[in-house]
Amino acid sequence: MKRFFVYASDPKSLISIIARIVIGGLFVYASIDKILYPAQFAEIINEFDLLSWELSVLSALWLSWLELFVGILLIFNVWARACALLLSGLCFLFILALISALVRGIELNCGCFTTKIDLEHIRTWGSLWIEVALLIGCVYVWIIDTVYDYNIKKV
Amino acid sequence: MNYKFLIKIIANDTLKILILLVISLLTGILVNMFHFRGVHINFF
Repeated sequence: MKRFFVYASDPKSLISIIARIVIGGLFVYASIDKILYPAQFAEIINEFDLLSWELSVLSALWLSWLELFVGILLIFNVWARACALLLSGLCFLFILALISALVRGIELNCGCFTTKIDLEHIRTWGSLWIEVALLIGCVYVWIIDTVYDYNIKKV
Repeated sequence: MNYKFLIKIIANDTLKILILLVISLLTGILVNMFHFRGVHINFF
């Protein structure tokens, strides 16, 4: 077991590379639908009832491209530490938004991977668990990269 | 792990994050302005 942890804490190990590719790939996949249909994504953000319509539109335009760029950089291991930190922050924000929606009794799809609103399959809790899993993955990538850079004293 | 190194890392990452935030915001606005694939949303 100890050997596994040592192996998993090396950013060059297969498990770390797979984690980066999977997380980066998920964000790239999630961004494509949002980039193609920004108006629908803005409506989904507006459903959270946290931002005004103007800010929802701005966030829709902003977040979709941010996810695409950061996902690609993470896959190719460019600025991986910064990207993992940024994605952790984004996941944390999404989790807070979903929790606030749940507390206020708003049922919605998070729009994480698609902008198609399926009223028969609304899964607010499911979306929350997906975000928690992504957050754990991003934090894992950030920690191993930080520890690795610390060990070789490189910033 | 000493704090000095951690602060250095976070400062370094913050700069990169700011660059990414600005680039993605500009791309989003520019693409919206040029009616990418016929999709266009009016700002305010």
